Amino acid sequence: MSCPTHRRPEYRKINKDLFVLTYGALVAQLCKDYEKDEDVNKYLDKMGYGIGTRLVEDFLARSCVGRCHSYSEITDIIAQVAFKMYLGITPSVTCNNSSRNEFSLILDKNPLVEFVEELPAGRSSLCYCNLLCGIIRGALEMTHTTELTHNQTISGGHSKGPFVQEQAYFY
Amino acid sequence: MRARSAGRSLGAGGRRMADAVLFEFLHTEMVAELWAHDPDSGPGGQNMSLSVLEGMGFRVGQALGERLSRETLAYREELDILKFLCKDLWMAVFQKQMDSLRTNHQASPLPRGPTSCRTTVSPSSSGWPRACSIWRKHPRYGGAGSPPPFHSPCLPSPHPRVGPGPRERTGRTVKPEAQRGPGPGCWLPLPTVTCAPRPQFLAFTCGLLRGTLCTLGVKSLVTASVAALPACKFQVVIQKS
Repeated sequence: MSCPTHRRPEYRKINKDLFVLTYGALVAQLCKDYEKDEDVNKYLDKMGYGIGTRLVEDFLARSCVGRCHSYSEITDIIAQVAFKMYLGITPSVTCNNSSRNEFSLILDKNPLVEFVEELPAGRSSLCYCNLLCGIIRGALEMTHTTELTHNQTISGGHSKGPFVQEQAYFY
Repeated sequence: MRARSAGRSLGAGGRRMADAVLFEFLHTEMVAELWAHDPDSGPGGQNMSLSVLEGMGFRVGQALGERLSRETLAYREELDILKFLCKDLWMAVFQKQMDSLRTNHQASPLPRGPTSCRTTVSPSSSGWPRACSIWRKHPRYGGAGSPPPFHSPCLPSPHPRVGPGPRERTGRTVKPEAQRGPGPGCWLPLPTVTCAPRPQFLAFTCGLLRGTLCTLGVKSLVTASVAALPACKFQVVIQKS
C-alpha cells in the first residue's frame, strides 16, 4: 500500500486525560454492573475487540506499513508504531520462547492507569487494561495475521506491580 | 493567558495528547454496550441507559474540571464560566473551540438579581458536538434543586402538552421566544424535535459539560439537539441555587 503523495491530512488529537478518564468511568460502570471480575474482563475484551477491528483500518490507512514477514515484525510494529501513534507511548517488546510466537509488551508508563490509585476491594482478578488486549486481538484478526485464531490468546496482567502492564500473546 | 493555563493544567502539551479516533471508537463501544438493547425495555429502560451514560460523562467532566488551575476556577460571573467552557475547556480537550455562544443577555454577575442566559451556536464542520446553547430559568418561574435525571431531547413526546413546573423543561430544546408561559412555572410545549442522531451518542457529552460546570460551582442541566449534522447544539439551563 502506497502513501498518498498529496499533503497528508492532519489527524485530530484530543487531550489524553479525556480518554483515560472516560475509560476509568467505563471500568467503574462495568464493575457496578457485573459482580464477577471475569465478566468485567470479558466485556472489556469484547469492547476492545470491537475497537480493534475498526482501529486497524485507520492504522493501516495512516501508517503505510508494508507487509510483515514474521510475528516479531508484527509485534514491533504494534509497539513502535501503533502504540506511539494512538497513545504516544512505546512499550518494550520481549520474546518469550524460541519458537518466536509468544511475545510480551511491557508498558512501563501505562497511561490508562494514571489516575488509578488501587483497584476496588474484592477486585483482585480485574484486568484493568483488558481493553488493550481486545484491541490487539481484534486488529490482528482483521488483518488475518493468524490463520489459527483459536490458538491465539491475549492476556494482560500486573506482573511487576500495579503500574507495569505486561501483555503476552500467542499465535 | 487563561487558555494557556487551562491548557497547561489539562495537559495540552504533546505528550498529553492522544489520537481522537481512539476516544471516538471507545465512545461508540461504550454506547453500544450500555445502551438498552432490549426493545421491551421501553422508554424507561432507555432513559435509564441515557442516565448511565450521562452520569459517566458527569464524572469525567468533574475530573476534568478538577484539573483546572486555581486561577481558572476563580470565575465569578456565569458568562465567564460559559465562555471558559466554550473556549478554553473545549480547546484544551478537543483542540477546537465551540463555534459560538449566544445568550439572551439579561445576564448580570452573581449573586445580584435574577438572570437569564440563552446561548446558541452556529454549525461547525467538526464531527464532534460543538454548539452550546445556554438557558437560565427565570427564578420567578420555579425553584431550584438538583437537575432531574437526564432525558433525551430526541425521544419524541407522544403527548405534547403545556406542562407546569420546572421539571417539564427537562431535556427540551427551548426557543427563547417560547420561554414565557401562561403563568409562573409554566413552559410552552416544545416544537417537535426531529431525531437525527440517536440521543445515546449525545448523553455523555451533556454529562461532561454538566460535570465541568458543577466543578466550577454552577448547577445546571445540559441537553443536546441536532438540527443538521455534523453540528450540534447544547442547551445549558443554569439552576439558581
